[in-house]
Amino acid sequence: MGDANPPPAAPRDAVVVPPDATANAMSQLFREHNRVLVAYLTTRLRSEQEAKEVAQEAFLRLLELQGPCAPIVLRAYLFKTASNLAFDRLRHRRVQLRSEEQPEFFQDLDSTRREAHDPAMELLAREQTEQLLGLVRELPSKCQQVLSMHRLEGCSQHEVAERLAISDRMVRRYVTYAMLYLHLRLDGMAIDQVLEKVTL
Amino acid sequence: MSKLDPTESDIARLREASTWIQRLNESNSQAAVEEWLQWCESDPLNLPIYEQMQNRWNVLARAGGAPSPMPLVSQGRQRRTALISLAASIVLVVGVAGWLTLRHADVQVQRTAIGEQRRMTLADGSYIDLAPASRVSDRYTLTERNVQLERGQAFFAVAHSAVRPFIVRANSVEVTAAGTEFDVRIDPNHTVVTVSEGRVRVAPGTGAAGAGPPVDTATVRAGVGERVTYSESSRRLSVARVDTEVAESWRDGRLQFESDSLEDVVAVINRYSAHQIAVAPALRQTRFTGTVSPGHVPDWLKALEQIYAVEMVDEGANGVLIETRIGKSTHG
Repeated sequence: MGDANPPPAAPRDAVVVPPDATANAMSQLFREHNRVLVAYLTTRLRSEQEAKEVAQEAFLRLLELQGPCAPIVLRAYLFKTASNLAFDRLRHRRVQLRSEEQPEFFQDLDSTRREAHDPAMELLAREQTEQLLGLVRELPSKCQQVLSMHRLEGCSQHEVAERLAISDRMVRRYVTYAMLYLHLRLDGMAIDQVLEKVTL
Repeated sequence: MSKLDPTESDIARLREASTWIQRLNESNSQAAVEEWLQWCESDPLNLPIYEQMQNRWNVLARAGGAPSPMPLVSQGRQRRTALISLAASIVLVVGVAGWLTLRHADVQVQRTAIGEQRRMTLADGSYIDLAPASRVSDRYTLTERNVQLERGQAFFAVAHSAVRPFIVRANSVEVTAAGTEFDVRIDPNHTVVTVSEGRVRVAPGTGAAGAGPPVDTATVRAGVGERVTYSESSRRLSVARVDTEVAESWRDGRLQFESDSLEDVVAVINRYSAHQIAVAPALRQTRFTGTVSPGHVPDWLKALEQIYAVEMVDEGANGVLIETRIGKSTHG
């Protein structure tokens, strides 16, 4: 996350704007809010890479604004723009899922392995995933069930609640518990300690 | 934050971060965003914790699309009941899919009446066009999208996922796809799979039991314009080239056939009308090529009498029997 200020010469860089008051406001906005914007978009898109792309696009859109704006208005506009862009992307992703057929998918099936762009990163991601799935199995079964539907199958919390015939509030409680439990276990805490600190 | 002894306020912060992640993930309300920004600004530790928690959480979302190829390593201590230990040990073997199957067999069943055709959209954006008098059930798990065609015919448009195969089981056949379009039809003695986009893998399933020749377990890969037929009698898969428009014609309300046996043709037509047609055994393997409009079946029957040496025997409430005309006159 330390690459928020790329070289100012880059032509598509969101920081490089005409030197006027709006530009100053914009570059300040970027400095102060790029990180938090990326964090927000990562939540929406579940991908940090895509979040960075969308954040940059949102700043570029902001440059098209005419006239001076109060910083608080700019910020609201920035997040609104980014949120819309993220929404479009999520919708597009759904369509794209259907259209791109991988010819080598049978090999994928056999090895159950996605094509690796960077083997080292891929390995790290796998290890993380395996570690996390191992920890998931320590959770109460109902909690695992909620987690698999919500996080792995991508059901909304409300859908999970309906399918399991429990309240939305109960789903949130299971998810919060799971997040805290997994977080503390990944921090290296022992099971007993975690169970002491966090209750369902 | 690698803090092995978190304080009450650390836990409270984690709880808040978790709540925010869930809230922002579930809605794109601008009011929520504003509130969250205030939370981030209220304490410099908030955002880093939020980021860390979220990155870990996203690993779990990615796991849905990237299951582990190897047995998962057990974390050692299992503090749950025997049942869960059993479940966990099965997980080690078959992966999380098995675990999910054990945990929630959330089966959705859909059926159509005679003459009814329906499209249904599945959780992942895939959709199924279900032909009349057909029945399908689906059960999605972490690593597999399972659909069972119990009877009739259906067209499947599968949302792409290279690692979470879409598997259709129909009679003794198992069709595996990643992101394709294909049609599956259960005929009286065959199961027929026709691919109109992408590729699928067809395998004889475990459904074939009882007396008969041994099951040829060889799998077949089929691409666009190919039709895989599994014969219940020979227990083998065969591949042929066909016109995909013919296979899909039923979705537009026309029933096109290409060298289909009369028995299979009639089985399809019978799904469109309560007035059932039967075929005399001697005629069942007669090949038919042509188009039948479900609304004009009596016309088609009349036309059949002119093309083939057959006659229609009206059996009243039992419907119509297609009988050999010549056979009767030569023997009589």
